[in-house]
Amino acid sequence: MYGLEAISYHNGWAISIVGILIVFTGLVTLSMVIRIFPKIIAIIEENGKTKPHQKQIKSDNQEQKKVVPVIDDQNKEAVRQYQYLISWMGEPFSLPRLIELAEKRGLVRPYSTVSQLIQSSVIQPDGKGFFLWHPE
Amino acid sequence: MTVEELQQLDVFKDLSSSEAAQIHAISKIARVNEGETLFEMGNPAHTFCVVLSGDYMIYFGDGSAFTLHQRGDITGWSTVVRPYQYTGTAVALTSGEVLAFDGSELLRLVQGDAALGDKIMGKVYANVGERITFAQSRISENESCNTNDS
Repeated sequence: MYGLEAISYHNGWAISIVGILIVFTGLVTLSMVIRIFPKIIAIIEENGKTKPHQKQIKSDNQEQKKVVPVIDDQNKEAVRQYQYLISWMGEPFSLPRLIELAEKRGLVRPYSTVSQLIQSSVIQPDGKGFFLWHPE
Repeated sequence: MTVEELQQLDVFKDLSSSEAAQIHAISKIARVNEGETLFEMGNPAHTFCVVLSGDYMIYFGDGSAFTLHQRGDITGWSTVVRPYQYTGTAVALTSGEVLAFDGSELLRLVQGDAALGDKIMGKVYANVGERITFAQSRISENESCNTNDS
């Protein structure tokens, strides 16, 4: 027995379909994990930053108003990308260096995005020629 | 832009109508695109700019920078201050318009008419003063870093 007949006889078609499904499911799962990975990192970093601040508020017993940037949903992704770049650069950071890095990473319209972040106070000058990310 | 509109800009608001007309005659509205460089550090200063719209960044060799967002903000004052060489690089963060002045023409007007020169240079020096304060803070920052390093 040879060829297609042999494949059918030994359940080759079913085994092939199961194999394809296993590989496909694995790839889909992997892509979903990769997709949510930056969000998980952002959540972990956010927790690390906010906890000391919350403790300080509790110890001082003073209400401090947090600077809330005016950023629409479309720019939230940009905020996340620039926050990542700045966390990598360290603070205070150089604005032209940030734009240069953003260009190298292929981020869309880095000049106007940075301008928007400054206007919405997400990025603020430190008064010495360098900039800080969303100082509280 | 009309002479009256020009007089509404902070740098020219003290000018009389005739003085403003002289300045208006040598002005030119220039459209700039996002990411476009207006001038570069170290180059001979040929153009003095007044912001009409858009956002701009002026940065220096050490990576420090400041941004301009207001109509009437000025940049490129090295065109009227010795050694007539740009001390920073200006780039447009967004598309916009600037009122551009040829440096030699502006210098001719400023040096040829004492009253006009005083009014414009008064505004320019106020701006230079802010930049000197800015530069001093950069220097003191660098010195403290050097002290810490040593």
